[in-house]
This record gives sequence, structure tokens and C-alpha cells, in this order.
Amino acid sequence: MKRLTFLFTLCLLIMSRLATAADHSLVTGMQSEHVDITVNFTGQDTLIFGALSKQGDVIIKVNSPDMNMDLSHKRSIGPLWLDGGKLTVRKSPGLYYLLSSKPIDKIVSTAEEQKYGLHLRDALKNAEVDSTAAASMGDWRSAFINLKKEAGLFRKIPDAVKLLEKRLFVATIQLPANIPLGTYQLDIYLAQNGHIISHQTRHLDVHQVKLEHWIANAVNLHSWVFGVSFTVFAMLLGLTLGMALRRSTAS
Amino acid sequence: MEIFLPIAHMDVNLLLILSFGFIVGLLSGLVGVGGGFLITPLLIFTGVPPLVAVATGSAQIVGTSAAGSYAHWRLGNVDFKMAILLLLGSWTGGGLGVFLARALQQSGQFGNIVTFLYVVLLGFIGVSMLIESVNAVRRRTSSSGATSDKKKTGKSWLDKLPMQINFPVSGLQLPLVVPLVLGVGVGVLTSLMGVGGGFIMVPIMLYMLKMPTKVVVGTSLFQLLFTTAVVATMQAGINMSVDPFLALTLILGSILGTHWGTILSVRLPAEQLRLVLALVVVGVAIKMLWGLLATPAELYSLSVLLQ
Repeated sequence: MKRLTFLFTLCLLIMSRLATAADHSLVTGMQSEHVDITVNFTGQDTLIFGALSKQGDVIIKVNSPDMNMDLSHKRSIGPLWLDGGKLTVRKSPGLYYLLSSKPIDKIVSTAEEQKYGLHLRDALKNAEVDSTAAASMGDWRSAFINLKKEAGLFRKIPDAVKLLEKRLFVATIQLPANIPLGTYQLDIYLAQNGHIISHQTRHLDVHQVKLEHWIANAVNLHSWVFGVSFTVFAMLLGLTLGMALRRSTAS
Repeated sequence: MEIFLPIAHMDVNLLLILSFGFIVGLLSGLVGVGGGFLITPLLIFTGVPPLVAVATGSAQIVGTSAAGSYAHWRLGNVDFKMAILLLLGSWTGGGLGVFLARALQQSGQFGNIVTFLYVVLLGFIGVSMLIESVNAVRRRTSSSGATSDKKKTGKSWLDKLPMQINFPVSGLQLPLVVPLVLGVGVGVLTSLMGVGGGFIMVPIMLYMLKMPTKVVVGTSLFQLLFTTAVVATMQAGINMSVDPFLALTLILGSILGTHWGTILSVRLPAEQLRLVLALVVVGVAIKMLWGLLATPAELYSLSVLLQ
């Protein structure tokens, strides 16, 4: 309830801004512009909201920085199932969400869908693969997208954006714990009569903080120092605890 | 009790990981294996990326075998002479294995080779141990002393090799090359399979070298400790794939397990201990074989490309 009140006030504020900036048919706001990954991070919901000066539907596209992935494929050879091929897929977003107020194909035309990348398969639009390796991988695009969907990293949710009074919208972006790090790009589109009539871009910074940040830094930047000291520490920990336990049982 | 792992980059249940550690530790204290062949599949099953699972597994074995080695050392169960010769071999073998692993990885056959190694080695070792220990338990219950004539078979050619060395703790005389070659072989497998090599070392010491069971456990743990220490350091240094939270939780669980395992190992008869190890090894082999034979639910799999 508190959240709604907060939202409502914010939206009123935005509305007043809309009145002054008439050329903007879309004004947006975010609950937070960063996601902090701490020791007890189990995923996070973040709100995105805004106001529309014109009636229409809203599509939100969220994508994280590109990653390089390996896709492997099992084949049956005789009675056995073996790894039969590997394809390196470069430059595909780690996370790709499409949230909308209605199914996207009902909001915009196919041409618009293609132009703005409003289909999950568009996540692989800029992907780079070795074409000879790809030829032997079957329908690798669908496989890639399905695996990403299962991991909760590619999503298409046609009712995630709620329209209030036809002039306000609010959406909850549910981020799982295993999200990639980096600066995410959020594209918010306003569509009317099958066309995108307004577009806004926002950013969401996903990073490790405090202890998580410190550890990740130590592991990645001083890997040998970390390796040696952690191994010695593990050994000493094992020894001390082992000794302590032995004493306590002996006495 | 959820915790976010900074390197594996996922959240896990602390208690689940603790219990994994405990189970592996129990096995380690009981029969002297590091449990790498068990912990790596368990972690992967939880969703930990394979490379992080393998690397963190070796860090966990360092902690576990440190506790176990100490306990067995206090019980006088470590043959240091044997352990050091084995280590010289396994460090060399481990180094060779790293290059072999890279070559296999480039040819795209690494996954298949590793699975085959697991199935064939674990299957062979497990089944022969199972047969042996079932026979031993039977002999024990029928209390006939038929074990004495078995000791001489298959050792005569070893006696003819030069540079015979006495191992007083094990009550054995063996040529120098035996522990060295054995060490190299185990070292290669350690790098390829991401395990400490205890499950290979223990049966070889028991059945080929005929070392006493109690000394086998202590010596194997001691050798494991220093092999995995090198591997864990290298994994952290080169691949940056040791997750400290995951490793520490596993170590805590496994040390508790090891403690109870070691206490139990003194009380339980040696034949039954071997039976436990045999059953676990066969179980893992069957699981791996099933993975090869069963039609996979998902033909494709996705992993982050290594830099």
C-alpha cells in the first residue's frame, strides 16, 4: 500500500512535468537505478513506472551487456549419448526481457517488432558464430533461447506492464539471483495503432557490493595471491578444527 | 539460509552445502578418499558451473584431508616415506595432465573422455572391490583363515626390480619405481578428472601393494592433501574459479564428517570399510553410465565461454 501511494505521488509529479514538456509523450521513472548484489542476494524486484500523454500500450525491453557462450549438443552414437559438437556464440545478451501490457504481436505490427527487436529471437540478432560449426548444430537458435528461458534469463511476459487509468503504467522487473553483472539497458516503448510512437532509454547498474565486491576483486585481480593464501588457509582451518574436535572428544 | 556465492554467481542453501560436505567428509574419514569424485557431481547438480565445481572441490579436499591426515597421523597411520614418493610422482603427472587436458579440450573430446574415464575406472575398481570385500566379509563370518596364502601371488616380478626400498610403517619392501609410477598415473587422472585420486590410489595400495588398510587410509589422505593443495592453488591462480564461500562451507561440513568418519573407522572392521567404499564407487559409476545410455531430456547445454 505504501508503495502504491509512493508511486501515485511520483506519477502525479511526472504528470505535471508532462504538461510542461508537451513533446514528450512518455515519461518514466525507476524505483532504483542500481541492483546491489550482497551476501544474502536472492534476486530482486525493481519497479519501473511512468506516465503516458497519449493512450496506448507499453513495451519494456531489458537487456544486459553481451556475453560469449558455449552451446554443446549431445548426439547418439550407437547406444551412447556423447557430446557431438560445440558452438561458440559471441555477442548475445546475458539477459533479455520483454515485458508488455498486452501480447506484443497484438500491440505492434511485425515490421515494428523486427525493427525494435521485440521478439526473443532478436536477442541473437547480432550474435556471431562460426557458420560451419553452426551448420551441424541443428536449430541452435531455438535451443539457445530455450535454455536461457529455463535459466530465467530470457523472458517474455505479456501482462507484466499494468496500465492505470490508461495514462499511467507500472511494471515489476523480477530479476533472479543468477543475473549477469553490468549496466543493463531498458528501452521503454509507447505504441499506438500498431506503431511505436515514443521511446525512452534508461539504465540499471547491476553490481556486487561490500563483501561480495571485495571477494570478487581479490579472486579476479590478485588470483595467485588469493590462490596461495586461500589454500594455506583451508589447510590451517582443516588442521585447527580437526585438532580441536579431537581434543574435545579425547577429554 | 540462502547465501550468494561471489564466484559461482548464484544463491545456494547453506545447509544443503554443509550436508554435502558432511557426507563427503564422513566417507573421507572412513575410507581415506577425498571425495572429489562425489562432490563435483553434487555441486554441478546444484547448478554450480562445472569449472567452479571442480576447482572449489579441490579446495574443499585440501581442508578435509588436512583434518583427516592429522587425525590419522596421530593414530600412526601415515607411511610418510611412501606418501612423499607418491607425491613426487603425482606432481609430475598432474603437470603433464594439465597439458593433456588442454589438448583434449581443443579437440572437443574432453567431456567424452572424462565420462569414459569415470565409468571405466570407477566401474572396474568398484566392482573388483565389491567382489573382494563381499568375499572378505564372508570369510570373516565363516572365520576360516584362508587369507595368508593370497599375499604371495603376483608380487614376485616386483621383487626382481632394482632399488628395493623398505617401508617399515606398511611392513613392505617395494622397488622405488612403483610408488613413482603410481604417483604419475594418479597425477594425470587428477588433472583430467578433477579429483584427488584417492579412489584410485586406495584400491591400488590395498590390492596391488598389499598395504594394511589403516595405513592406506592415512597415507592416501596425506598424499591427497598435498596434491590437491597444488591443484587448488593453480585453479585459483589460472582459472579464478575457486569460490571461497562455497569452499569454506564445504570444508566446515566435511571436517565434522571426517571427524566422525575417523572415529568410526577405528571401530569398524576393515572389510566393512572397503565394502562401503566399493558401494559408493559402484554407485557413482552406475550413475555416470546411466548418463551415457539414457536419452537426455535436453540435448543442448549452455555454458559461459572461458576467457
